[in-house]
Amino acid sequence: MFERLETKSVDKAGLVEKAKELRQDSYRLIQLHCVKTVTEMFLIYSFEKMDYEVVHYRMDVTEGETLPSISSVYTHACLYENETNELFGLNISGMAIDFKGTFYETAKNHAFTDIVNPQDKKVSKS
Amino acid sequence: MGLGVMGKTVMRNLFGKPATVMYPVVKKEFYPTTRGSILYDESTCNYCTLCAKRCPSQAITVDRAEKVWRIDRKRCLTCNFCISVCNKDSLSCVQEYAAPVVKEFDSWLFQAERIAGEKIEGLEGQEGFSDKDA
Amino acid sequence: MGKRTVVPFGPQHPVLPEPIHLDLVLEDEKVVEAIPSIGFVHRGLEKLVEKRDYQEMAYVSERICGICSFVHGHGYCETLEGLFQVEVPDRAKFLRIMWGELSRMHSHLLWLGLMADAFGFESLFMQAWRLREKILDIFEQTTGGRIIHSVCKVGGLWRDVPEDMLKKIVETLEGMEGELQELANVFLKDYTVQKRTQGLGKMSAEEAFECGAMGPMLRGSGVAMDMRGLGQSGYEHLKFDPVVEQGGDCYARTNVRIREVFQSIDLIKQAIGLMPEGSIENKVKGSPEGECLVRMEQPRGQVIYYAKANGTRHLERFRVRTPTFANIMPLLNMLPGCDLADVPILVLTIDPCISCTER
Repeated sequence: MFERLETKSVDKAGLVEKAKELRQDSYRLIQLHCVKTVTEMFLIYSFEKMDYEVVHYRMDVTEGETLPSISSVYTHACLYENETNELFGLNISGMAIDFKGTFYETAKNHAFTDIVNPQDKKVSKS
Repeated sequence: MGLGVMGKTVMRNLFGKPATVMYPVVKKEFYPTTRGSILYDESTCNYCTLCAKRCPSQAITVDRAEKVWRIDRKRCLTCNFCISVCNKDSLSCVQEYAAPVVKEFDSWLFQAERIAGEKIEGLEGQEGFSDKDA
Repeated sequence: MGKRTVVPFGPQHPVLPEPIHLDLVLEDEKVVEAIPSIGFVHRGLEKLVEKRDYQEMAYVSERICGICSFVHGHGYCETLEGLFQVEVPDRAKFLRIMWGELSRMHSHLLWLGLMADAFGFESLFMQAWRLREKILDIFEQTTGGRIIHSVCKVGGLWRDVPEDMLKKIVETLEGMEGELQELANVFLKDYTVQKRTQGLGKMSAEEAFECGAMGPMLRGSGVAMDMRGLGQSGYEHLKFDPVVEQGGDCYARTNVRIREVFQSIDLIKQAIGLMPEGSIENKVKGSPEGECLVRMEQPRGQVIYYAKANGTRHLERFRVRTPTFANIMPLLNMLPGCDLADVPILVLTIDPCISCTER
């Protein structure tokens, strides 16, 4: 049985510094995703070492904010950042490869930003 | 590479049975646990609508007032969730799949052709498995 | 400096199981740069949490991918069990291990067939898939479906497997070992196969670890990381070591996957030998709350599941990060410098499962 998630907190200003520190410590980035709920919005970064140790960092953001990219430290972060940009509408400056919104071909831009709360009104299931 | 590397496999394939089945001339034998389609028993159903509420793809509709139970075979995934929630054991799973249809039909009622010209036992009169050709 | 041309690769291509598009910039038959473009199979499955409650989401989660469908269902249930903090009975854990390892075997055999097809060796492709049919028959006899199993639920399993069926599984697998060994001999000792895979796509251990490679890509370069070594969900009772090769090229990765098939047979025999009697379910009541993140080992590498719930029947967020998403960067690093005819082999060596990547 897996334990509940524990995260440490990081803010926009200290993000790139933290990533550099972790890279010196031989951690690698394994995932980056955005969570948007009715009340809050945040990003989770996960880093891992070769002996399976893992740390998670949480960064609170608001919609439409501009964030720094960590692809100067970890090149493969650009794929995750493009996905976050495309689905949630967060601007990220300085990505190594910038797809400019064409990563996934969706009918609506920023498709995950309109949250439908199933408790609010009668939502049809289909 | 000599004959020894793949020789045994080649001999086995040359003199053994083929791996394929001549469908539709020969019907495939299903296993007892194969999830083919859902079978409905009208006599024990009390129209509690639990199966319709729990179906993940909304394939079942139940009309309590008029005592009608309908399933849309094209939406059903045979996940067997409805069978596990039914209190009266009116639903069960049979191994036979609904045969492919060749015409466009109204989504609640469609007539199915038979596999290799045989009737499927126990399914006459079920919604979606009719005796008549379209 | 030679002339540069741009050749589009995919989304329709005979070697690809799923659509991915690459724009290859060529200079006189050698690839200089590759620009990927994905999004052909994006279905937005993660947004369905708003409409399906947490029990029905298990069925959605299974249908993310057809090849790795059992692992997605299993991982979803593990994540929700972490949210509820409920422990699954031992018999359910061992049965899940058995199905997970069978899933790994069928996925690797499918990949071996596709690799043989990429060389043009069609009869070897058919042989690998003929062996795979025996595993799909086992799946149908135990779970009811060949590809989509629908057997994991939050708190345990829907179905049990009787004792005689377990004995039959062990007999079938022991009968398969001889044929698997012949298949492995053709892959590893044949002159043409060696010429086309050795020395291709070399990655050292540091490069592979830093650019985010997962699964057999890492283990083929000498890094011994396997998420089954975390000691969760029943694997702590089994004895095994991660399969590691030192070559770092396509030949080493093929070798890793073949040896993993044999390792899976051994793990299934261990799990069936240790299987205790007992119930297969621990009933779960109420609604989930909190956050949980789970790392598991899929046939293609490390997969991460994240779920967040707020005390109602619907989850707030469900996220899957699949290993192919993480393996796209190593692919873009390996492609520059190779010939155009080697591109299909390199794309296949990461074991692309694009429908997992794009959900």
